[in-house]
Amino acid sequence: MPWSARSRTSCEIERAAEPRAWQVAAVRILVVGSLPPSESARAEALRVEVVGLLAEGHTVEVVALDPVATAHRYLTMGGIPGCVRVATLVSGFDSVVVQLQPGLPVRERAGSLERNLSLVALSFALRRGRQVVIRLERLDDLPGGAGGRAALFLWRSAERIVVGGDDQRAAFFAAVGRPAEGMVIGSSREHDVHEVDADDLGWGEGTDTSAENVLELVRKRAARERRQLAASESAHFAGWDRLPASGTAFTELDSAVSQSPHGPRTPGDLARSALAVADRRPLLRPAVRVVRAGFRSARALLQPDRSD
Amino acid sequence: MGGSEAVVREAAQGLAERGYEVDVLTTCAQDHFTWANEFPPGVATDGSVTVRRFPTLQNRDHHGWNRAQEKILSGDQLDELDELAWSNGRFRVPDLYLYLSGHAAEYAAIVFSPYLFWTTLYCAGIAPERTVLMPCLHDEPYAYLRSVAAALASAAVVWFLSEPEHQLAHRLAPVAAHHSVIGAAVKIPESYDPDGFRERHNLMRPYVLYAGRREGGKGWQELMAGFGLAVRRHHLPFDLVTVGVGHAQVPASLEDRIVDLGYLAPGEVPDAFAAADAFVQPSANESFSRTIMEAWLAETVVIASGASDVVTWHCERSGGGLVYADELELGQCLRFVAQAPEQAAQLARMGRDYVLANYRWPSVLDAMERSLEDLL
Repeated sequence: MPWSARSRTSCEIERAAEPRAWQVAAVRILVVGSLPPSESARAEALRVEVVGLLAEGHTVEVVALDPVATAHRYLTMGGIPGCVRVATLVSGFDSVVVQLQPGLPVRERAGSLERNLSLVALSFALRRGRQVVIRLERLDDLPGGAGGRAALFLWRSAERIVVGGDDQRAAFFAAVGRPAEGMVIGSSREHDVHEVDADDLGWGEGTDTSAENVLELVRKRAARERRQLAASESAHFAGWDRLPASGTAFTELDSAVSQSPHGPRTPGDLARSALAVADRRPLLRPAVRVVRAGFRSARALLQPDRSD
Repeated sequence: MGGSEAVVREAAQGLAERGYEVDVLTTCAQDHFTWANEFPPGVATDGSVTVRRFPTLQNRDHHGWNRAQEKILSGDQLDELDELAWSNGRFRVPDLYLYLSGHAAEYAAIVFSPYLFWTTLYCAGIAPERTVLMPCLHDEPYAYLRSVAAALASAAVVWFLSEPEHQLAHRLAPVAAHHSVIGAAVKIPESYDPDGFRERHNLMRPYVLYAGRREGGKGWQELMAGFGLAVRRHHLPFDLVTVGVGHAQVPASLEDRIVDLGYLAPGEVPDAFAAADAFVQPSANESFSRTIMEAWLAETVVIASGASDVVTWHCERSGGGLVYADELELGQCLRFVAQAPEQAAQLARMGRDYVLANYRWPSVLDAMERSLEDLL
């Protein structure tokens, strides 16, 4: 059943495990938000969403605020002018997906009045469209948070709100309550960090020396990546709270590759552990690459003896 | 389009003939100056290869892009966002990005080439574990961008076309652990028809050939200056015949010595090489230089700028070419060809032997397959 035809009262507030089941007919969808190459969880989550929509057969046009994001068109300004621009675009589409971010609709340094006006402006813009989905990967992507009457007005302009995970969903409910009777508050599609079976990396049973070398390589690269991630996060999003989060994630990664409950580990075990942690953490997408690169390098260097 | 596109096309066809299922994801553009959509979007076939074309989109902020371009060319370092803005501002292909995002897992390997464009700088990060980068690097300001360094480091495999390109990459950035010089190849024509070519194009005087894009980055202006000086100083008998894309800007004083044949049908190109007394390669920006291989195959001597490490390397290894450092030396080389055609032909034969020994498709495809085994 197309979600536009779905009775709101029949919806429950639930984690949408099968979001792709909502829609059956291919439609034209306007996606407003920033796709990679920005190394952010928000951009990656939107990419996954767009890929999912395309896989369902929909036609997607992407409009971005970020001038270096992958997009068909760009909003030249955020804030209220950006909302006005969105209003001119939405009517040509069967559905609209808007990912909120600092700058859209609320500028990062907006005062209370501007914030409220921006939220209302986007609400009016979206009410011109159909089948509106609002995505809020993290609550702090909306300056001032998700609460307040103006924000509630925005939430009610959507037929579905998607947040970036169960923790964000809980925080959303804590801040907003239930925006409208029957509104679905879903979680993002799973991040499409490609799963790699560590065994596919070509490792056999390695020696302890191999494992130690691999571990050292991964640690070194992870440390470098952490510094780069910290720098880029601060520059791109002023999301200072993400810095400790990224640090925690890397600590977890390091711990996963170094702690061994069963004695010395093979490189394959280490790879499996590292990738398992990285796959759970959108922030660690760069680290997935690092880990893979590390194992590739190590494989070339060490050539584990398959005859053992 | 240039040499890297030709290499990719022939490699794709070669791999398809060996049983691989090969898709080419590319733009609808034909001209790398305008990036205008000239081919229809959608799916077509080229022999056994499936070609999926996606439309290009272009930025309207030409001033901003030009400012960034000037900064890059003057050697200033851009920050990461400015680099991306520069890359995104020339042209972009969002539908290709989205297609690849959705289908990357269906490909065992995704080969990106060349390094400079949006299609590589934006898309190589989609599935780095499957990415094979064939950068076709030149020692030029663009090669020093951070995004290029990131691509070289994060690809699963990197393929270089020559040893000097390989060395250049190591000077630029850490290179992915799995990299190798796989080389490139050119198709060997079954026969040549130099007399027919001269007749068809009314070429009555001996000529030296320039084949390639007529643009600053390929040494066109230097060639005009050097050739003009040489023919005046040494009273050389040669015309300069030029083939390729781009507007051929010719000084008024040389108009009677330059013959611009524009874009030649592919079947005519080997004959153009065979009919020439020498082939001139003035470009410093070469990662392989297919044209010198084509010249040598046609047993035409090569006169090349020493500013290109790659071409110099080929000439030194083969003994089949003359390398010049400046306009005066270019004149000396041309004079040698005019006065000692037998010796020049002998050099050219050494060049042909070099190509046949090193740059035939079967051996290059073997090298590609060995390298791909790391991913498959």
